[in-house]
Amino acid sequence: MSDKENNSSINNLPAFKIASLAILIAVTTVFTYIIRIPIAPTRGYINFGDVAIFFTAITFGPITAFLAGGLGTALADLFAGYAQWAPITFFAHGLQGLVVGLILRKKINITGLILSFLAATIVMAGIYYITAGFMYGFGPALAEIPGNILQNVAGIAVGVPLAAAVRKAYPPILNYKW
Amino acid sequence: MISSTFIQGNSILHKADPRLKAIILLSIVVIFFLPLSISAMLILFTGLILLGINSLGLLKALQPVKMILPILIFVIILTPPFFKGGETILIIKNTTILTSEGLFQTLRLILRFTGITVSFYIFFSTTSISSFVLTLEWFKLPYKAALIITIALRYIPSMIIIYNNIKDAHSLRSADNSKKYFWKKLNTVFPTLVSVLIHSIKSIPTLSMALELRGIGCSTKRTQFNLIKSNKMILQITVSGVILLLIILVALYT
Repeated sequence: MSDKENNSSINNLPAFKIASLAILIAVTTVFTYIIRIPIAPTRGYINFGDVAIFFTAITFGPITAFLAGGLGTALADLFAGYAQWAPITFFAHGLQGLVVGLILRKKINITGLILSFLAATIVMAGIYYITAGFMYGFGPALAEIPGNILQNVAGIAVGVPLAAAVRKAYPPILNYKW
Repeated sequence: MISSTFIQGNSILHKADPRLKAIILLSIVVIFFLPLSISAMLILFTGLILLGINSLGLLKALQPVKMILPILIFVIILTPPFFKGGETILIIKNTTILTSEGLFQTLRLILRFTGITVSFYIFFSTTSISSFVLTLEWFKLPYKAALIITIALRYIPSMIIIYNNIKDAHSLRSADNSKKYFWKKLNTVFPTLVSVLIHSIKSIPTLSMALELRGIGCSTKRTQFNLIKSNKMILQITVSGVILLLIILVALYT
């Protein structure tokens, strides 16, 4: 049996799906909760949760990105003490991953990247805006939008090269999509 | 080792059934979205803070309020301009800054958001994460989903250690982690991220095999080592249900 056939049979196993989801959820949580880079002018931080989501969507496909992106970021909210956002985060980041995965499913080109960035930003920032609007008003919720757009910029700017670098350094990952 | 926000304690909330606490948490979220008067919301909020102080102590109970303070400041600044009805309270240079409706809406939004935040904080500080996963299973979350979350929670602390080890290894090879700002910092972080991801992804086949060897994927029903005990739960549900109903009725008619 060739390596490719062997891998494609492995990634159909329930155990493989469970293992890959669990590991990617942990990756997303750590990228969101631990890896933060300061932005000079605002003294704020960019977390790398969206980077992990773009990476998962490109490398493992839309369904994995939906589950790993949603659950990973929701767990990060929980550990950071923002548990009230966890259910909303699950849908916002989960759907963000799903959309990116669906758009970049077949081929990664400039049009696809622009489309995926726009769709991911609209879905993620839109869900946060609407839910934050209901929670503490649509005026104050506007203040969150620039930060969410910036997160998506970081997601696509770092996530796409990261996926390419990992594919180059570890080619078996190409067969892990399911 | 499982990541958690649980704070050890011996209070009523620590001892209460996690399924019951989950139901109460959802009810409190719904109550905060009901069209309540400010005084009713204030009573509910004060009750939550007192419950938090009783279970976690004063400083811990106020911790979530401190965390959402920047958002609350935004609410105070940005809500009044959207509501011009009612009596004028504050005018500066012929511009209405605050009306009674603006004040009411600002207070309502602050109490709602703070109340929901405090409720979630108290719930996760008094409920261990394993009890939470078991509660989700009791609410019909599929076994595989619960298993995925459990494995992820088990793997998070190990992954933090892996990340720190790889970061240190890169530092030893002259990657400067002390860079402060985005692009410079990114240049040093990127190779670390590649290594962390490859290390993590390489563990997927090993973990899959371990799960296969333990019969994951078989169609037969699995038994469980950990289960939530059901002692006194019906009594607790009845008492809490009556208290919740009273809170809703009092809140609606205050």
